Amino acid sequence: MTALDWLALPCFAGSAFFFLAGTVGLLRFPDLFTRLHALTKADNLGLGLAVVGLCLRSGSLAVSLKLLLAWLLAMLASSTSCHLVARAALRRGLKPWRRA
Amino acid sequence: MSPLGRALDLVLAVALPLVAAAAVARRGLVEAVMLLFSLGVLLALAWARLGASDIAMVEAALGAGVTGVLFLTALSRLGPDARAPRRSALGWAGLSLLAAAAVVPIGLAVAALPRDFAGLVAPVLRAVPETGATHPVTSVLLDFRGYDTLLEIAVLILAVLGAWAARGRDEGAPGRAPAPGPLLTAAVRVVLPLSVVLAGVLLWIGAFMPGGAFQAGTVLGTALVLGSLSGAVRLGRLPAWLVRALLALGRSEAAITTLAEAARSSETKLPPPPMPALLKRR
Repeated sequence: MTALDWLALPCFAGSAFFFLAGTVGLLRFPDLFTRLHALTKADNLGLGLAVVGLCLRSGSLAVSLKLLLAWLLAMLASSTSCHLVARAALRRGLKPWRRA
Repeated sequence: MSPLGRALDLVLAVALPLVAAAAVARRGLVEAVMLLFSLGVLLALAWARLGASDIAMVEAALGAGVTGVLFLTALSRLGPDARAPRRSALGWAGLSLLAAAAVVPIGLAVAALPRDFAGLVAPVLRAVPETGATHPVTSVLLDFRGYDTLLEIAVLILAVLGAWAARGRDEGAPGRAPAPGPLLTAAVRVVLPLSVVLAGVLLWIGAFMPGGAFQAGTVLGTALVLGSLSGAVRLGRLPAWLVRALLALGRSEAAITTLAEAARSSETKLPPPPMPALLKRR
C-alpha cells in the first residue's frame, strides 16, 4: 500500500462510522424530523469522507473531480428532499418531538 | 473474485427478493413506492456487478428515476393516506402462483441453455465496424434491432393514444400541486441544466462507451418531469395537429428505415443461435 492508500484508510473508517451513526439515528430517533436530521447530516459527511478517500486512491484529477461533483449533487438532492419531506409533514400538522 | 465483491453479491442476492416482496406486500402506497425506488437502485448495482454497465445506467435512470417519479405523481393525486386494499388468502395464493409461473420457466430455460454456446458475441463484434459506432451495445441497440425498435415505437404510440383516451387530449399540465417553495425551485434550477448537459454527454459518448440515446432520453425525460412537477418548466402546449403529425412522422420513418434496411441486408443475417435443449424436444 502506498502512502495515499494509508491516508485514505481513516477516511473510509470515518465514512463507515458516520453512515452507521446515521442509520442508528434513523432507526432509534423519536420522530420524523429528528430522523431526517440524522439521515441527511450523517450521510453527507459519510459520503463526503468516502469521496475524499476514493479521490486519494484514484490518482486521477478527472476522476476526483467527478467524485466531488457526485458528492455535491448528492448533498443538493438530500438537503432539498429533506426540506420537502419536513415541510410536507409540518403542513400535515405533525408536531416536532419534544422531550416530555 | 475478491471476498469483498463476493460479500456484496451475497447482500444483493438476499436483498433483491426481500425488497421486491416487501414492495408487493406493503399496504401503505408511499412505502411501496419507496421500496420500488430501493429495488431500482439495488438492481442497478446488481447489473453493475455483472459487468453490464449500460443496463445498470438504464435501470438507475428508469427504475430508480422516472418510474418512481411517475408513481409519486400518481400518489400525490390519491392523497397522502392512500392504501392498497387488503389481499385475501386467495389473492396471495394467486399472486404466488403467478410468480412461480414466471420464475419456473425462466429457471428451466436458463438451466437448459447449452453450456458450450459462445453466444452472438463474435458475430456482433465482427459486424460492429459496419454500424458507425464503436461501442458494441450501442451498435446492437441502434443497428441490429430494427424490428424491436419498430415495435417499441408502436408501443409508445399506443401509450400516447391510451393517455389521450384516458384524460382527454387537451387537458393541460398537472393540476393542483402545492407551491414548490424557494429551495426546490433553486435546486431544480441547478439540476435541470446539468441534466440536459448529462443527457448530451450520454448521447455523445454512447458511440464508443457505455451510454447512448436510450439513457440520454431517460435522463432528459426525468429532468422534464422534475421541472414540470416543480413548476420550473412550463411545457408549452404544441398544437394538436403538430403533435399528431410528429407522431405519424416518427412512426413512418422507423417503419421505412427498418424495412429498407431489412431488405438491403437480408443476405448478411446472423446465423440462428443453437436451440436450447428444452425447446428442441418439442
